[in-house]
Amino acid sequence: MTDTDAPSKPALVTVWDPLIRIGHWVLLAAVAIALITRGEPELLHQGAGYVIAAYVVWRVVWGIAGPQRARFETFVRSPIDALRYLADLVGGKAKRHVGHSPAGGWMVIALLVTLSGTVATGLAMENRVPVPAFMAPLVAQAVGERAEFGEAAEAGEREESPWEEVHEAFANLVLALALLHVAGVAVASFAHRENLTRSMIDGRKHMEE
Amino acid sequence: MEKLSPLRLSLAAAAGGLVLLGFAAAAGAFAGRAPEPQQIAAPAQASPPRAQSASPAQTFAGPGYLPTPEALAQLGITNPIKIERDYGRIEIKHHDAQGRIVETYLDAATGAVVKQEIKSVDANSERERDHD
Repeated sequence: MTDTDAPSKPALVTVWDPLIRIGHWVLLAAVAIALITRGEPELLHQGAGYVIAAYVVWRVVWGIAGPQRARFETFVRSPIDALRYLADLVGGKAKRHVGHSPAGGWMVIALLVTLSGTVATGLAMENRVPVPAFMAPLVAQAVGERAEFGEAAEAGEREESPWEEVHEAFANLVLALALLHVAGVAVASFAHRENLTRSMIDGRKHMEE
Repeated sequence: MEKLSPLRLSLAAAAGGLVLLGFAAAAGAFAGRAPEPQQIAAPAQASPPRAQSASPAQTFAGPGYLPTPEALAQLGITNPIKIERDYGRIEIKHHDAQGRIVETYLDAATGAVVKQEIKSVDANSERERDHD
């Protein structure tokens, strides 16, 4: 919003649309709440989970029908490009990207996938009917259930949902990716001499080839 | 913003819908959940039993039931810290006679003590998460 910086160079353009930015920080808050509460109090934890679920659904829609910069097709590159970018970053010669960098693009995807997994398993463990019917045999097998899956769950014979472990694994993965994301932003900000965090607040970046 | 083609729009809607559907499926929306016909045959209390709780002690039947202070007193629990339903069991966190923090688990259907765990001797270790 404020225009105090002195752009001696390329013009500032709005890269991240308002919804992307709001969504980003709402997601951060929700993930933080979900991780801190670790299940209890339920209302807070599950509320955060639903917010994350809504975010993921919205982001998928936005990634297809949103503004250019939000679209997956504009920033999802081949994994080789991503690796090359990372290598260049380490080598200090990474090319600057106005939108997501190739590595950043894959981070978006990785986070969306792990967030989805966390949400889905969270929903599944809360719903003692543990899984969609077509998946039940699979899980029952994995857990080595003795009784029929659904029945046992309904009767409360099991102490914990088999999804709990998976849910926690996904949550840890999200945390790890989020930390990696922050580290990546820090490194990229440094490498390209720009404040990427501020861009996610005001949405603007310097245009450059 | 540039114009959205109907194709793109429907693709977006489909993708979003698919994710939503996935979440709903995970939440058990399409799982063949056993209907609860026993609702009519509810014992004593108004609370309907869980799927097959044609179970003995009627005092403990029904989803959401938490033991009364009297029921707790019978177990020697006079000042519970926390009472919680947890996957078919009732978890009661309380102090024992020695002042230790104990978790007593009751079968939610029968009220029988399933297990008891001493959680802590001192207040510090009490903070740790209670699932193992």
